[in-house]
Amino acid sequence: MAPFDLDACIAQLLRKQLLHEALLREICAKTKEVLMRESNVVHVSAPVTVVGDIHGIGGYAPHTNYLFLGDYVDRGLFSVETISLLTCLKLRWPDRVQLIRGNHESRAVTQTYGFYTECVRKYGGSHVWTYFTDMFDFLTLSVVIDDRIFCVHGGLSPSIHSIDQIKVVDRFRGASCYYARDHAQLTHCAEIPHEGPMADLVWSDPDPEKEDFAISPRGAGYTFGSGVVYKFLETNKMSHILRAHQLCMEGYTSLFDEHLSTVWSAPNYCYRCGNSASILEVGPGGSMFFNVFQAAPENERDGPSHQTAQNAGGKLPEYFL
Amino acid sequence: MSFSRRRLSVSSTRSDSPTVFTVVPKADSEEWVSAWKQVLAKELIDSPVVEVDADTSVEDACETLLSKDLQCLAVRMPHERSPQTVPFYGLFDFADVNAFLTLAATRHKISTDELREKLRVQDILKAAREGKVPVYLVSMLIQSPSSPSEYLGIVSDRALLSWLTNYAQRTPNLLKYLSAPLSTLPLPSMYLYMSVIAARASDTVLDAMKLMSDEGVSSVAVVDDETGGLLSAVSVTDIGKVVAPAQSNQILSTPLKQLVARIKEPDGSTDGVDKFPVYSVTPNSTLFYTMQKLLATNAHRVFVTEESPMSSSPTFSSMAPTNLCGIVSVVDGTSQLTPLVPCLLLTHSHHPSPPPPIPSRRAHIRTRLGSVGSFEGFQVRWAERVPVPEG
Repeated sequence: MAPFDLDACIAQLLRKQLLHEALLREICAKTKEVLMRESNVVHVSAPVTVVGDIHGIGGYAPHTNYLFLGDYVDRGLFSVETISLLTCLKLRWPDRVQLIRGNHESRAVTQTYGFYTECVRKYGGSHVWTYFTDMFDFLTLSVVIDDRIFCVHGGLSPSIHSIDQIKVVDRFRGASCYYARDHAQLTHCAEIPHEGPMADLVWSDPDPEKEDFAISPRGAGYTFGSGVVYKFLETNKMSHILRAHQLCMEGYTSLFDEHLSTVWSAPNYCYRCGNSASILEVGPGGSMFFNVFQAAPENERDGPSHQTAQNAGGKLPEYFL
Repeated sequence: MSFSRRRLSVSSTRSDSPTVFTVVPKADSEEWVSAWKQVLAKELIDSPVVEVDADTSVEDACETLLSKDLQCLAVRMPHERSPQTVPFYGLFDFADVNAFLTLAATRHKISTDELREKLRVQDILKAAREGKVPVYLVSMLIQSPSSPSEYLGIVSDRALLSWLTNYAQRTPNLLKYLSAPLSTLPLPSMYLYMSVIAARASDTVLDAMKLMSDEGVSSVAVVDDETGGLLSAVSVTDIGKVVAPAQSNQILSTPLKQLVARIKEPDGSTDGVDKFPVYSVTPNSTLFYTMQKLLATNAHRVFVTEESPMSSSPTFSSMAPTNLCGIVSVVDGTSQLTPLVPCLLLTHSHHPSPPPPIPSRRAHIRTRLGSVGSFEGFQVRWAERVPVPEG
């Protein structure tokens, strides 16, 4: 295939036009190569803009360094455009854009919660879904900002006490070597298992009422309490845990004496929750500022028929195109 | 699969004392049983007894189950039946809803000969032609005490499991026993490598309903067409929630994949708490972990799946080898305390080779005597499936 123009692709996506299927295949393949070289724990420096769950609401372009905490797809109506854009941004600026894997970056979940259906609807088949879910297998699991702030999609794991343990998880092996395309061949893929450290990192939730770990009602991962958080921060000499994964009506929450924060970036989730959303700016001195915004008025009705998800009201246009 | 692992022999006694396992020191098991014996049923009540009249329509009864978020209703005695000393005719739950809907969808396939033998089915079809099917025809018969004392409430199987889990947490020797991996435990009702009742994602909703009704189970696993991997599960409760209120029959022919998406879609759409598409454990998970997971997720069952490739596995009819290798339900979690399964345990304790599949035992405590499609035939089928002990 002839070399493609990434900037043109990005511009096209910002105009809300889908990329051609063959082009997406190429982009995903190249992005996989970039992701493959990343550790399970990627180290970055502030200033960084941190974005929580997006869930197919809309798209962005980087003016600063960006860290996305996962859950790019499902639920919203623009999952394909969103993940296409993020993938292009990652490929175009691999050191300025970090993409962490969320629990929705998985085959099982996307077949249930909307992304698969959207791919088939917009592209007439499931190839695009395959390209993206294959690429998801290569997304990193966590990021550390300035050696101080540990960022992950879900939360902590009883099997992980130190960050070094995350580094040795084989995220490319995952769980599902059993997938047999036919009786003779086993196809390798790295779907998120439903148990173990990889699952815990993307599925766990903090529980302010508890001290320790407990089995999560979500059916994967754990809930973890204050004792676990403080011990993890102390062991790893960190000051903060940043994560997403849980809806916050005000766009963000802080727990455990502000040692853990949740960032949620999908306003009016499922077009009915009526919640605010936020984007976090981490400054070089360790400052943390949550920019809170609402869904655009058009989004508050039965679901956008306009392509207004990008202009999600409030301060957003200052930061994004 | 290899059955070279030794099946620990199980001894059991009849009704009044629960099953114990030979591997557990007698003093320990006696301690647990005596603690259990001191628990009063009323301490474990976790559901109210909600009554409906016998002639309430099946649709209205189902709606009551849904709107009040109940597991079952108590059906009052029909007026024309006497004696009136017994207040309740039976219990009505989602398994009955499923059986009824399946019958409605497949009645044209029942031959007149078959129909002649199934009196209850005839009654239902007759009532349907007259416009309304009363719930008592579809509900599971119960044996209630002859004196009409007031019913305090219902103890569900979940309440039993919850008690057992709590007790284990403060009883170190029991906790130790329960911390063995599933694959090593001799609980006969948990045939890990048996075929699990499953349907393909491309099978229809009606296919799943028929499976549940015919096999007497409350759920079926849904597996991926190509890979055979476990995708999700559909239960009789889902049928009650999605199929029963449906306006047309079209839903019966939709593929299971779509039904699953419809069922899951509300999960997390108002509180943002998305759930894992299917609840499962591995053969290496401990029984205690499995029990805790059942309680935490509020599920009736979890599936057992292999994480690593299986070189040979039981196949389900013509499907590709699946990673699905077993199922553990709330019933299994409490089976060591409940004296309801001793006859089956006794039967299998001397069976050296893999026992034949008995899928209906998974729903044993809520036995599908009310399963309309096979009501009169149920007893016969059950007897056919129980193997004859050797020696």
